[in-house]
Amino acid sequence: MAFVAGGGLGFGSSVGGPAKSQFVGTRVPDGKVGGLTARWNMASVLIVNAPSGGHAFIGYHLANQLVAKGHEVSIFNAGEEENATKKNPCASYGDLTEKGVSVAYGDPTSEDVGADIDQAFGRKFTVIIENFSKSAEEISPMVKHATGTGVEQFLYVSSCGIYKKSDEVPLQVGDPVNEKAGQVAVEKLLESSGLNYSSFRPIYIVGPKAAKSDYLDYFFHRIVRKRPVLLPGSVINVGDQMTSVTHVGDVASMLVDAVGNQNASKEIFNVVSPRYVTHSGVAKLCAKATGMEAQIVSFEPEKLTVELKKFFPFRNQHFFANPGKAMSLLGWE
Amino acid sequence: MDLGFVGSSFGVSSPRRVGRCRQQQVVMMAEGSPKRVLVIGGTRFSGLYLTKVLADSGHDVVLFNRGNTPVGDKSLMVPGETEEEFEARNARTSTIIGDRTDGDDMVAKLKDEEFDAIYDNNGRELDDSKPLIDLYKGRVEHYVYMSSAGVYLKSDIMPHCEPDATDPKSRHKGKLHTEAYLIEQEIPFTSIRPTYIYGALNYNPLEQWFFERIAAGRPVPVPGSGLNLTGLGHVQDLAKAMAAVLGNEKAIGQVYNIQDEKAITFDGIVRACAQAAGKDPASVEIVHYDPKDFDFGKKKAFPMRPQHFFTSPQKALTDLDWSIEFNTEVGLKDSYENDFVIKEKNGKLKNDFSTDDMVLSEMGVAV
Repeated sequence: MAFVAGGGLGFGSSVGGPAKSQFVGTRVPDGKVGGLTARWNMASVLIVNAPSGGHAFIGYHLANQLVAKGHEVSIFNAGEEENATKKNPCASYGDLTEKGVSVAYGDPTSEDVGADIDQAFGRKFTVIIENFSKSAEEISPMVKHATGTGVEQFLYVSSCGIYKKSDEVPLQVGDPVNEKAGQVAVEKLLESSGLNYSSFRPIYIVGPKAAKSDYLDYFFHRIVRKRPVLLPGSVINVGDQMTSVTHVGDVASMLVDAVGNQNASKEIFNVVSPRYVTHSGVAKLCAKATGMEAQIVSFEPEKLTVELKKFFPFRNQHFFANPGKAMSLLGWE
Repeated sequence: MDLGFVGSSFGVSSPRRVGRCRQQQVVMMAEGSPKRVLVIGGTRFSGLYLTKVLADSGHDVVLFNRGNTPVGDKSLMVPGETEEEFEARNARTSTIIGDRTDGDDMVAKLKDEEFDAIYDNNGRELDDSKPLIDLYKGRVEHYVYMSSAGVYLKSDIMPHCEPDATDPKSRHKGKLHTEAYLIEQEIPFTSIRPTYIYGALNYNPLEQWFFERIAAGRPVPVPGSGLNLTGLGHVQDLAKAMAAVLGNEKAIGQVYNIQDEKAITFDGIVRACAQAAGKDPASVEIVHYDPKDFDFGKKKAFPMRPQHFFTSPQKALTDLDWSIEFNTEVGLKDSYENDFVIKEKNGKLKNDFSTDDMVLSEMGVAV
């Protein structure tokens, strides 16, 4: 689907071509020496996944892409198998197990997580990709396990939600973040852990096997029923807020580009499409996809009887970020 | 020294650095041999800063203009530049007198001159540049053309990137025609598309518009929701980018957007200008209005177009040995302290609040 074609709409930049680096980056940014030099034909990757929520389906696509690259993939899923598999992405895990992916359910936050993982999979992992924890307490046992067993690379899926609101956008890595946010504590913990870590901050993600498809459904539901598409905010220039909608395949591919890549070491990346779109723009694009019209109407969020986020899928502000660093350092498109 | 910024040749968008203050500007000698460079439109704002960067780098700069401001005129000093620096670069700068809007005169004056590179900074229509392009086809290593981000077609999707659709009906279509001609003539060129250029010596009352209202303690009328995003680019960064194009093979045949990596909202500019002027941003009243409800006649009620309008400079950051040194905070402070306060003291401000008063009275806001 991906009407906002992931990445490739390009800056017309010379970081082009099909070369998605399969081996460690040869460009070493200032100050980075040594580290991984082996070519990773096959890494043993552990994905710690959520059972539901906005990020959960990243794990599914990540597993698929890693397997396609020839890596050995295991998924340690939070939640209980019976409940989790009632809906996507876990409902579709059969696709993955067919390809040789091992799946086990358990509690990634347990102090015994190391033993649980050993028991479930019985193998040594080169890479751990943590796509579940939202706080330092939750991730701490996994970090201990990683440092204790000499895991070579630790990738974490964070969130752009931690950035402080600003008049100046796009948000860039290095911009002020909300110190109270759980993911900020996680990033700090990883930084001090000594692990070869990278953190990836996404915004809104769409695509197949989503656990939560509210973002675009909000627009589609109203358009096909010929109901007004209500957008929060100003009556003048309604729906002017600019946001970022990224295809899950592109989110997964950035993490895959980072696996075995020296340039990713101890870096934080925004994992978002380099193209941003207004709320009204989203409405128009959804309408175009259905072949119908969008009737855009503004409303004042203060007049809602529920919290805005329970009603409308996007933040009532500009909310988008710059993935330039990942494009340069990882060759991501 | 600048080495801390060299990392950006990898195109890494580094955490926003505060620009260096002007006093620390370092004179860098050009890599390779000095070039003989023609600059048309080199005595005002971006052309002036460019001339300085080129001459400081050791190139021989030949200006072409009508001679109203001869080399050495004090008005050509850039804020923060010392007398010594000024004199040193003037020794490498000369003027050929002529009128670029008169193609025959321009050709007559320049035909026997050889240049390594040409900077065509003030061409508006193809007719302005065509005689020059025809004259120097096959005779010049690099023809650098000052275009504009104004050529991009309005869109809900941002940022504008170099391959994006342009608007054949745009006010800046002359730039498009010229770009097309450069491509057609197969002359080695680079085209530069800045968004809104700002900084000390700006002849366009852009940031000045905001400073005037803030200094006067007046409410600031902002069209739309105040959320429109616009792209500011400091003139010094633009000059450095344009100079960085010289001798760079990758830049041949390319178009580059040049502006800050960040866009800023209209309301954000008000706050940032208040900050630069030493005032509490929260103390400045912003009044939003729908411009469609007003007829301002020929007057411009606001210095920027009321739409989302910004580009990504990622391509330039990747291809060129260039980094952005001025963020909004530092850039606006430069403009305020090195330009606005001087104009204010000399009574040179426009202070035309007629359209403001129209809006404010309609919106029931007291001044």
